[in-house]
Amino acid sequence: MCFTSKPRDNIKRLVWNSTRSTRSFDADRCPSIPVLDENPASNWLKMSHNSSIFADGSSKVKASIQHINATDNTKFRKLVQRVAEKTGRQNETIFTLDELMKLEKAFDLPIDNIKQMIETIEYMFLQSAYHLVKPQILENDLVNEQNFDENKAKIFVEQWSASAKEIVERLKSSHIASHSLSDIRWTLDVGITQASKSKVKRPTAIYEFQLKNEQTQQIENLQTEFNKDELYAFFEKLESIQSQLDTLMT
Amino acid sequence: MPDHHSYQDPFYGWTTPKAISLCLHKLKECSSSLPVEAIKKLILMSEAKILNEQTSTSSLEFLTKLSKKYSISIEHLIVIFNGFVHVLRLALKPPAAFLKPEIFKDDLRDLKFSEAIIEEFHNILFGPKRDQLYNVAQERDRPRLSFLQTFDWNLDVTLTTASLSRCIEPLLFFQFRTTDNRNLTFEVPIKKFNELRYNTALLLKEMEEVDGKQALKLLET
Repeated sequence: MCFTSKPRDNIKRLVWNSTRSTRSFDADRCPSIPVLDENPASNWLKMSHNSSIFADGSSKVKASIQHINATDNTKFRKLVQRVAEKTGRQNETIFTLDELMKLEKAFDLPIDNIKQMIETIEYMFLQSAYHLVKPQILENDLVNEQNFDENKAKIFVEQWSASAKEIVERLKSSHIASHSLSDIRWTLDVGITQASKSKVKRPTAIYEFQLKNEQTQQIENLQTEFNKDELYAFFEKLESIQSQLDTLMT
Repeated sequence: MPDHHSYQDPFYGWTTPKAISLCLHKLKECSSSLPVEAIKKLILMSEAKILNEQTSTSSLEFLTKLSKKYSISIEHLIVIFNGFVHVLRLALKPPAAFLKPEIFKDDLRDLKFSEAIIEEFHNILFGPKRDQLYNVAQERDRPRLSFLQTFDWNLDVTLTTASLSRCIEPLLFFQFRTTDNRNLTFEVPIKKFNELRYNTALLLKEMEEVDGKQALKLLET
């Protein structure tokens, strides 16, 4: 058995095996040992041609693909468009219950199948985003590996080309930390008199940091006061962070 | 030299404050039994009280000692001590350049303090701890919102996530610790960080410009 040096090929090889095993078992060839040519480059091409980026979930999506292939083209296009808008957002459901009822009537399918279809489409978008696939490869994959109808595959790929950037941006900016800074408010006040001193001139900056709790979406406020020296020190720290960011980016 | 009463009000206000009048009254009563050194010590203690210094004995213990030593009731001593602290607090109220030594002494004479006491007060107000006293009056004894004690930050780079196999994104974490014991750790998106930096710079510029504003020129001391 010859293994190429790239670790990705090992993974692709595993993927290849699982797709082979979901199809009809070919008694002549043992699916666990791939048949390889002498030339490693063509092996790699062969493997990438035979593997699918959706292989991890292929058993789940098989049933939905049959339903997808049966739907009307225009309806499918609209559905795909809607799903693409909402993919990758955290804590949001794509369709409300009312909309699901309407879809049930429109597609003439029971609600479970509709849900499965929507999940399949979303899953495909997420997998495409994970691997950052090129549209052509995606089309080939859908048509050859997943038994997609050609028109449907075209529609899907069109939508992917249109909204890929948006989906990836959304996934990049999803936060994991429990709190994140959602807004900053400030005022500049000048203290002119107080109980202990009759005449002062004291500029004071008051910041309100609004922190969003990611689970509950609630906003927590943090109010702090800065006098001139403290504000300078704060600004110097921000400047040092910025210089680190600049060295990172170059 | 024109009498300062024509252009400057006495530092203690238009009428003698009650605390000071009571103090004077008690001083007259106890002047026979209380020697000058004890009075001087009391005045020094009142300075320490304002500065909130940690002395070896608290002011109450000191007063009890004095009361036993000179057999004066503790209430009298407390009234006298209170009056001295009051005088100092009122003297620190006007802006520093406003209250000149002679005017200060004159006002104290109007209050009918003895010369020794006046001398002692003068030494404290214009003595070595003058800046510290004024700083305490201005900065420490005022209400303040909480402010930042420590501010730590962490700049990481996200390489891959569960949802993206190739994603090179910087990730910024802040940890604020404030004076009211709140410890907050949160993520800062790079866009918000840029906003924060811009706003801080804007605030600093505005702060610098405060000095030049017409309306605030009236506060020139």
